[in-house]
Amino acid sequence: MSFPARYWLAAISLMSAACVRTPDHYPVPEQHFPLRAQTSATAEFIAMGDAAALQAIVRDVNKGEQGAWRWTGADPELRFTLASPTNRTLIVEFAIHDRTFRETGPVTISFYVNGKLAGQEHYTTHGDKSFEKLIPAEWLLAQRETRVRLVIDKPWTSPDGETLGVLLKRIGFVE
Amino acid sequence: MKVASILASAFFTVACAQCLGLLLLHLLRPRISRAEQYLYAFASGSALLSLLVFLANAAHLAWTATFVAMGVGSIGACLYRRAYLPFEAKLPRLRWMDKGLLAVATPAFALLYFLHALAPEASPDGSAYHLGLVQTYLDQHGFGRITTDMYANLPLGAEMLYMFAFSFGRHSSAALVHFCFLLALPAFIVVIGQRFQAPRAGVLAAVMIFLSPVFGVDGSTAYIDVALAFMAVTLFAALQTWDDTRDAALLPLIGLFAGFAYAIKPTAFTGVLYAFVFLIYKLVRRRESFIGPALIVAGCAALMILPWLIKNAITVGNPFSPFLNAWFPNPYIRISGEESYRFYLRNYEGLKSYWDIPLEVTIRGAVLNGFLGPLFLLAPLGLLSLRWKLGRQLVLAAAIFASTYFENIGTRFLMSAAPFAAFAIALPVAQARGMVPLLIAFQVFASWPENLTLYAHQYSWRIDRFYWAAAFRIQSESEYLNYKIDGYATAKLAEQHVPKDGVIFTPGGIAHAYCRRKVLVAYQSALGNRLGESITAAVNRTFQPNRWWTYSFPPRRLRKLRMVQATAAPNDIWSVSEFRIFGPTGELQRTRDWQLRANPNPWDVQLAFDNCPVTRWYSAQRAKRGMYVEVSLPSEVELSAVRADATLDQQEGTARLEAEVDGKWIVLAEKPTVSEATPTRGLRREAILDLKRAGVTHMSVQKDEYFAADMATDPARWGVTLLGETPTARLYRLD
Repeated sequence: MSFPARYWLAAISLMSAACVRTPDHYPVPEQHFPLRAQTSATAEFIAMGDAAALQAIVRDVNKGEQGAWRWTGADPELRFTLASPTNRTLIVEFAIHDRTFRETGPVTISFYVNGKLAGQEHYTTHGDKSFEKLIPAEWLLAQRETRVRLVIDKPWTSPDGETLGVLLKRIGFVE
Repeated sequence: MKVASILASAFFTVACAQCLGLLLLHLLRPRISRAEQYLYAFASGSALLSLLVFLANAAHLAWTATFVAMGVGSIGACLYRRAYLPFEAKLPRLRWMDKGLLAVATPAFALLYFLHALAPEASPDGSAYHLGLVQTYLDQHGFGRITTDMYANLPLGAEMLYMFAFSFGRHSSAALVHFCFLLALPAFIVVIGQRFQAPRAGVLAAVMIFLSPVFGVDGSTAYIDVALAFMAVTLFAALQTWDDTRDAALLPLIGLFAGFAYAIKPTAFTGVLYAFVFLIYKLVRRRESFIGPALIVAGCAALMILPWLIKNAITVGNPFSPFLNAWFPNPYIRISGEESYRFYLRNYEGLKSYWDIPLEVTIRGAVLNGFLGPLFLLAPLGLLSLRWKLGRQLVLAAAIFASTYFENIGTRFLMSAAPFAAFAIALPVAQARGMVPLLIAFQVFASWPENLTLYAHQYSWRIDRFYWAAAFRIQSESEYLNYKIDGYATAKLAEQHVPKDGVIFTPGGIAHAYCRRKVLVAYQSALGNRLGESITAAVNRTFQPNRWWTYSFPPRRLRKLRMVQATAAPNDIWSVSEFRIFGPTGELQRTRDWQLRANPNPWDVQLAFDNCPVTRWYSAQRAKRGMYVEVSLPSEVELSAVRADATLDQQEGTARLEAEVDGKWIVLAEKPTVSEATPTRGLRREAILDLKRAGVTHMSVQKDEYFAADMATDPARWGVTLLGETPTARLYRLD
């Protein structure tokens, strides 16, 4: 039995309708989040596992450790270079080790930005902690070094004499 | 007055369908009996009315006046042509004992179901999408182009009938139309028994089905499963009758029934195949030509099926949407979304093992939503019916209509096979003296609402009592619906606060049939999926771009770059949150003349270049070698690195970086350096802004959603304002 050509045409038309026409390419869309200039290795915020962490450490953070955590001493300090000083929040993610906490008890940590006290927190438990604080723009300078310092009131001293503060994970400034 | 209006609307719909069917039978003159005439007329007339309502919607003529004209026209034509006159042939009469069994067993249940159907529609799916879509189409007087609701892409053959009734009598009249199918179904089973010399078995099977708790509750709401079961039985009857009589007048009806079954629910495609294979097999066996009959059946089936395929092809680019999206890729339903949905349907929460299914679908009924009744535990007895020709045909039909069951293991998905199983059980049982009355008595006892809790789960889906007050509106609709469905109060809250042109986004759904606003449900479309993921990313670190995949290479001038998936990762769906390009002086500013491409899911590629941390390009299918995201710059630029911002759910570093050099793609970097990203803040607000960009104006959030407490605690942080709440949900305006 023959199948008239017009039926084939109708069938092909139907099948072609069942395809979504997709343009060859799309343009860049509207940009939604404030774009900030970033290098591929930013110095605004670092994780202790990053290679950039070593350059950021000024003092009292263990440079010999590898991995996501580094022990600090009682008075660690790090440096950052910010693209812009406005609307910047300091974030410090760290942990208080249960072994040190058992002996030191509650710990008070003071957070300084360029020598100014950004906040002071009293920690009554061990475990993961996070400090966040919006930093006044006048404390910061664009494209200049910004120093962040932590002062731990009760560091733990190991039997071999080493002083340990907290386990630092990530630290820096975000918008 | 309201009750009268509901009853009149349902009656008018069924009368219109009946008249259309009678006219068709008057034209075809098949050699069938008087009883069959009215049942075939209801089936074929329903199919024709459904088609007419479809055409009215396609032409944007879905007005009440159109339906009045259809009804008056079909009833008038039936009267004018005297098509209502009964055929002369009669089937053997039922014995008084069988009539007595039916008369004793069924009326109380018919009343139970009638009252449930007449009460305000409170079924989960009926109040959500079966009637939600009917309401939407009526409001816009036609189909329109709905691309954000996968249920709108299903064939809606039964819903077209509901729309006809709904336009006059609203929700309950639609449920009453379905109730008429519930009445017709056991009647047809009895008639099959009479025709094929198994009247007593037919009576037992009819009672098993009519008194089955899941048939009762489903058939007295605006669901569609009883209508499908009725069409399956009608198709079976037509095929067996044709096999006996070789009456060519039955062929168009067979096509119509098979096609309408598909139009009610696409799982009934097996019924279409069944009709064709049955017909061709029987003709070939007799060395007769099958081309003519097959073309007639195909043409009539296509009349019912093709409109739905064409509608989908035009609307969403996939005739079989919401399924087969891998065959017909489109921006409206993700392949991964379809896979998740099908997985969900195959694995009901709470079902420990497939071995629990037999008890769950027969006597428990909580996990798989409904139960057939304890007599269906006798299903293995059905194999004894293989000794008779009718039994073999029944077992075959049961197997065919149950063959798609494991695509959705809910009890409802056994309902089109259940009448055949019931008849197959009844055939051997009816040979034993006294067994039929005994089993019918047992079925009456076991199915009586107050006795169901003796064996079924307390939360099983069933009718638990006679709803007199609700049916006759002695109890107010709102009081009844607030008691029966959580989403009703939420729907009314939305109607109260959301302007008519507002768009409500909801992760879990809403009783859309009671909310005349546009609703975007997270799981029902690609857009809904994407917006749901934005909300998730706002509060869940795993879905934030917290990993940087950095590809560094010696500085060189390049124009086209792409990230290519290097390995298949069956458990991973690849995504790129942001694709950033760096030169020696920092990140390249993106400009409108960059050309972006991706494969698969090219439609979402811009989301990897929008600088929005809650959106991402998503492959929307399992990661495969060769998938890519590509960017072409307007001219060559000196570049030194590319960074993909990735979410934590990505398998790390599975893509390589390539560049086009002298017309060939070369590998610039096989593996990225993976590092922790700068945390991003303000994502809650970003997610809400993303919803607003998609046109959403409001959100309805169930209180048990994972982010509900967070949003309720600090709505300002999200950028939303609480407008009101119900015991189960909160309504927010997006600011």
